[in-house]
Amino acid sequence: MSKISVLIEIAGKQADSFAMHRSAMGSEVESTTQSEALGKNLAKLGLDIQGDFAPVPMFTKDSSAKSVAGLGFADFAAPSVNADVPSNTHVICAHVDHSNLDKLAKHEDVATVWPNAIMKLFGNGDGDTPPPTDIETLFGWPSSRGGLDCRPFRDGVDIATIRKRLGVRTVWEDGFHGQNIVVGIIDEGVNGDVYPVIGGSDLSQIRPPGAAPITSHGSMCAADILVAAPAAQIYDYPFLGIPDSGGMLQMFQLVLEQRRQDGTPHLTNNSYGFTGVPPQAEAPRHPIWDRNHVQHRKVLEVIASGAAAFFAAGNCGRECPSGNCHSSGIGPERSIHASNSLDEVITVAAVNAHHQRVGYSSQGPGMFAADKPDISSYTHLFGNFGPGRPGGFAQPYDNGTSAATPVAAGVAALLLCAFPDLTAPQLKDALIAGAMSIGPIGFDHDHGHGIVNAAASYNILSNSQIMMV
Amino acid sequence: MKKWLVTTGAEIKPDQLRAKLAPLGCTVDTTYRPVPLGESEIVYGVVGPADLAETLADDDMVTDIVPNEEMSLY
Repeated sequence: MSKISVLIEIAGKQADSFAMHRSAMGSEVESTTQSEALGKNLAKLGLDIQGDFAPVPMFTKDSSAKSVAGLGFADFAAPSVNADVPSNTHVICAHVDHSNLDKLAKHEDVATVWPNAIMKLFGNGDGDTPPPTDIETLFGWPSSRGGLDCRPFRDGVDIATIRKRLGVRTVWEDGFHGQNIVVGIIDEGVNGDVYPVIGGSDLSQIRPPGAAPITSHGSMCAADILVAAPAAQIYDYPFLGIPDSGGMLQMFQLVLEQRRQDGTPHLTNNSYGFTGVPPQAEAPRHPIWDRNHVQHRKVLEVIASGAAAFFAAGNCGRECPSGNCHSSGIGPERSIHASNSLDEVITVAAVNAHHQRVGYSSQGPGMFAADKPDISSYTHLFGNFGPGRPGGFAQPYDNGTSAATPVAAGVAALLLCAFPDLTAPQLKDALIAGAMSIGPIGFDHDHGHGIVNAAASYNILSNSQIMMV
Repeated sequence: MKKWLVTTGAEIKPDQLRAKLAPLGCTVDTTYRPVPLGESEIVYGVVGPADLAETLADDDMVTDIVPNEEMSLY
């Protein structure tokens, strides 16, 4: 004869019902003792009482309405220990033959017999398709846990995805698209046929602003500035053939001269630097070791004039450094250096759109200022390169901390458009305050203060303006 | 030969520096426009011997000399 599992509600009051149940939950012997005591008169019906099921006290409807003084539940919401409540019945679990169910239900000790139905967890799926397990699929937003992206890297994403990540729509909806903001790109030159180059270097020895091919590194930077600030404009400052301290010095002087004339450019983007660290004893005046090197002094002059300087952290991170990194300049404490590690600049690390640090992104502490990088920003996007983009497939996508830096500079251009009186330090503070931590909360040497977010920084600045009023 | 960035007082003219450095086997690099630094100094690009910094360490005309180092695009 097959037996079925049932829940039997047995009449019988018990004054200390909560205490009894807690005792039964803590001991299978006690649970069995209580169950058998409650069902002692039902033995002749052939029950197999389940001793591991702690009898559950049940109460009258009145108990729910009464106050504690009346031994009810009404005051259980208070954060204090309340008196025990007398039960009206108890439920035990047993297996019983089908043939005895009717007798059981009619027994004088039994209030009711209930089927002990088997339940299933909802949404666990009985089919062959496993449920999604990654946060990005489940919630439409990348994990805040962080992670690492190394070779082979995950594929690039389109601009719309990066704009969503940056939260630019919040700022755009208030009418700010980066208009009237000029970003100076110090690089190898920008293509002015595609990107809005309106000025820059006037040195006759080098090609004029806007004359670089569309596949140039500078064109990539221009594309990535426009991700957040599509109405921003560009000054093009190409290096003198080879990027070196002298060329950088020249370009920053041109920036300073332009600012003297009309206060532009409002920002500079600097996606270059050194890839190795010479021994200090052999090269004590190298820009990596000498904070008073003229290239740093000129950068600080430009920042002092009010133009924030964005510098790429570098591509010599420990986990998968770029192939052109010298072993002397790879990993923490060695890979963020020279002007890129000055306290006054904004040093940008790289993450992908899935909020994973890209493993080549250089890591702090910086060799001048320890708390570097300052923020992270997005790379591996179809900005200048990739499907349907102006630079085509010369590269699979915009990459490097070189790409992450102008994405962040574009966010800064957007903020400056909305708050044109921001000083360079205020702008940096706002970007840091709005940054989204991944991994450990707060600052770390892989990601800085977190990933740049236009909406958060914009709201922080908006609220601070309201407070000032 | 090595690339250097030579800082002098702002009153020093390119011809004066050229005359000073020529006997040392140096040339003032004309691809670099002299860059003012602050209000009282000016920086010249120079190509010269690897030991130029030591040679000019106590020179009255030169206030500083640092290497002009090459960088990479990231």
